[in-house]
Amino acid sequence: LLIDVMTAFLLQQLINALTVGSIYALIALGYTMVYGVLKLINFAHSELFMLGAYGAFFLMAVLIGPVGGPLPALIVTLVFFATFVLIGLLGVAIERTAYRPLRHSSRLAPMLSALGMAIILQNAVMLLAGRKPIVYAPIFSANPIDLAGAVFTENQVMIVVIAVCLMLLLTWFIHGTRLGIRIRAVSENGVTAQLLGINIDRTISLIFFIGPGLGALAGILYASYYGVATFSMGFIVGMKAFTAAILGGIGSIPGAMLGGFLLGLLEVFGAGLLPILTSGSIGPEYRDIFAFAILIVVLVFRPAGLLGEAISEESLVYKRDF
Amino acid sequence: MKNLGRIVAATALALGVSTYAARGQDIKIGMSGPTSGAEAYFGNTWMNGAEMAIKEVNEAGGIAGRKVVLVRQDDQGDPKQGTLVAQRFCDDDGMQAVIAHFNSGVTIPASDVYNRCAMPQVTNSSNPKVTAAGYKNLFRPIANDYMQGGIPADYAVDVLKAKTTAIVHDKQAFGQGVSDVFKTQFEKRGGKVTSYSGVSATDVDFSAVITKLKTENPDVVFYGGTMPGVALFVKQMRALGMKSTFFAADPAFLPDFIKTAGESVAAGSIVSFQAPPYDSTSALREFAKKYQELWKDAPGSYSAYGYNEAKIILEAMARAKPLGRETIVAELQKTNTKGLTGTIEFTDKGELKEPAVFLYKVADGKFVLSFPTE
Repeated sequence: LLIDVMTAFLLQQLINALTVGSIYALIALGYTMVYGVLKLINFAHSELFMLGAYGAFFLMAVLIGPVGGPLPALIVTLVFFATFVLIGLLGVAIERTAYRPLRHSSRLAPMLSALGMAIILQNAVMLLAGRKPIVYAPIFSANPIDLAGAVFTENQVMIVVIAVCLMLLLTWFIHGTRLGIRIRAVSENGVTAQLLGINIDRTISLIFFIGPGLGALAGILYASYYGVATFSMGFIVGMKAFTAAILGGIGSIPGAMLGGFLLGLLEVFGAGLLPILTSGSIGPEYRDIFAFAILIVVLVFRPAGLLGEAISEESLVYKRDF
Repeated sequence: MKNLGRIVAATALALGVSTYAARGQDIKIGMSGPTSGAEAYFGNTWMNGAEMAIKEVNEAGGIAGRKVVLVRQDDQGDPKQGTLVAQRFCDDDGMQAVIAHFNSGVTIPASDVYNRCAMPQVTNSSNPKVTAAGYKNLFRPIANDYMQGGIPADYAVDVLKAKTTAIVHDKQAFGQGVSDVFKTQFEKRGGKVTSYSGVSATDVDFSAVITKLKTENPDVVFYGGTMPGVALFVKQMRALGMKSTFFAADPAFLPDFIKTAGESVAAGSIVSFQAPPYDSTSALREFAKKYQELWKDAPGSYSAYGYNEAKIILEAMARAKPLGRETIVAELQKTNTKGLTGTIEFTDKGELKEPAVFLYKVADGKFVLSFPTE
C-alpha cells in the first residue's frame, strides 16, 4: 500500500512538473531565439506572454461573448491562431521601433530599451484593462482523469500536448525549411549570412514574430489553466522562463525546451519532495531557493548552460558586429 | 486645481466647524473615513450607523442636557489627508472624541496625532499594527485581523470535529499572522497540525504543495493569504481530488473568490469576516429596519460597527465627570456594554476581550452565515 501511495505521489508530482515545465519551455524559446541572434535579452517578452492571455480573452469576448466553459476545437484553433499572429506582429513592431534603431549602438542601449518597453506594455494593460485580475474561463475541459492514484485534468494533458506539438513544429521549421536555414545562418554569423545574400532585417523580424507568438500561446494556456490573468503575471513567469533559457543554454533552442522542463521538475521537487525528505525542516517556501541554487551549480560547471555552445572570443566578436 | 478646490472646501469646513463651536454648548464627536472615491460606500454607511446612535441619545435628552453632533470628515482613505483631519480635530477644543479612521493605513499615522492631544480615539481599522504603539487613548471595538485565526480553529474542532489540519500561508504579515493564531489555537484544542507550509504571495501554481498535503489527508486545510491565491488554492485542491474542508480569512470574502474558484468548487468553504449579516439576530434586524427608515437604504457591512463605536463613546461621555478628553478615555477603558455584534469590553491594549468573528459557508454561489447562529 505504501508503495502504491508513493508511486501515485511521484506520478502526480511528475504531471505537475510537466504542465508548468512545458509552459516555461514555450516562453523560454522566445528569449533564447532573440538572444541567439542579437545577444539581446528581450525583457518585453514576459509582457507579450501576458498580452497573449489578455488578447485571447478579449478576442473570445468579441467573437463569442462570455465564455462559460470548454470551447469547440475550431474556435480554440482560431483564437490561438489569431492571438499568435496578433502578438507576433506586435513583437515585430516592437523590434522595429525599439530595438532596430539601437542595433549598432552599445549592448546596453537595446537592453534598456527592452526594459522600457516592458514597463510601457505592462502599464498600458493596467490602465486599459484595470488592476483587478480577470477571471479566465477554462478553454479545455477540466474533467479529472485518475491514473494509478494520480489525478490530472484534460486541461493539463492539452497544455502538454499543445506545447510539445508547438516545439516539434518549431524544430521542424528551424531544421527543415528554407526560412529556418536563414535563421540558423544569421544566428551563427550575421555578417557571413549577409554576404551570402540573406536579408538580416527580415530574418530578425521573423524571429520577433515567432518568439512572441509562442509566448502569447503560452499566455493563453497559462491563464486558462489557472483561471486567472493579471496585468503583472508576466514578471514572475517571465523571470522563471528566462532562468530556464539560461539553464538550458541561452541561444540554444533545444536547450530552452530542456531548461523549461528541468526547471518545472526542480520547482516541484523543491516544493513537494524536499519537505518530505528533510521531514519538514525545509518547507515548500524554499522552492525557489532550491531551484536557483541548482541553477548556480549548473552555471559553475557549465557556464554556457546545459546545451549552450561554449562562448569563445570569436563568437562574441561576430555577433557584436551587426 | 483639484487640490485648490479641496483646500478651499477644507478651509470652509474648518471655519464652519469653529463658528459652530463658538456658538453653543454642543458636544462634538469627529468621524473620519473615505466618503469619496472607491471606498465611499463603506465610509458613508459606516458613518450613517454612528449617526443613528447619536440621534438616539439626542432624542433622549443628550448628554447632561447638551446636544451631541457628529462632525464628518472625508479622509479619502489617504494617510496624508487623514493626518490633516486628525490635526484639525485636535485643534478644535469642542471636539471631545473621535471615531477614526476607517483604513488601517490612515489610522496608524493619525493615531500619533490623536495621542499628542489626548483625544479619545475609537477606530474601525483591523490591522494588528494599529494598536502596536500601545496608546492608552486608542480603542478598537472590532476584531483585529489575527483574531480570524482563533475562531475558525474552535469551529473546526467543536463543530466539524476535525482532528488534523494542514496550514498554508503566503509568508506576508497578515497571512502568516492569522495562520500562526489558527495553528496555536488548533493545537491548544487538542488537534494535530500535519504540516505548516509557506508559499509565495504571487504564486499561482500550488500543485506540488497540494500533492504533498494530499498524502497527509488532513480534515481541514487553512489558507492564510489573499486573492487570487486563495481562490486558486482551493480550485487546485479540488482538481487534485482533495476533499478536506477549506478555511480562509476575510480576503476571500468577495464574490470574486467564488467566481475565480468556480461555484461548485468554492461550495463548502468556510470564510471568516468581521461583520455579520443583518438578518442574523433580532438586534441586527431591528437596527437594519431603523437604518432603512432613516437613510432609505440597506445598511453597509460596517454600519453596525459605526453604531457600536458611537455608542461606547456616548456611554463613556455620560459617565465622565467632568466631561473632558481625559475623563472620556478613562471611562472608555471601563466599557462593558452589549453592542450589536456582542459584548464590548477592552483589554489594557484597547483590544476587544471577546472579538466577534463571523464564519460564512459558501453555498449556491453565496456566503451564508454558519457561525455564530442565534
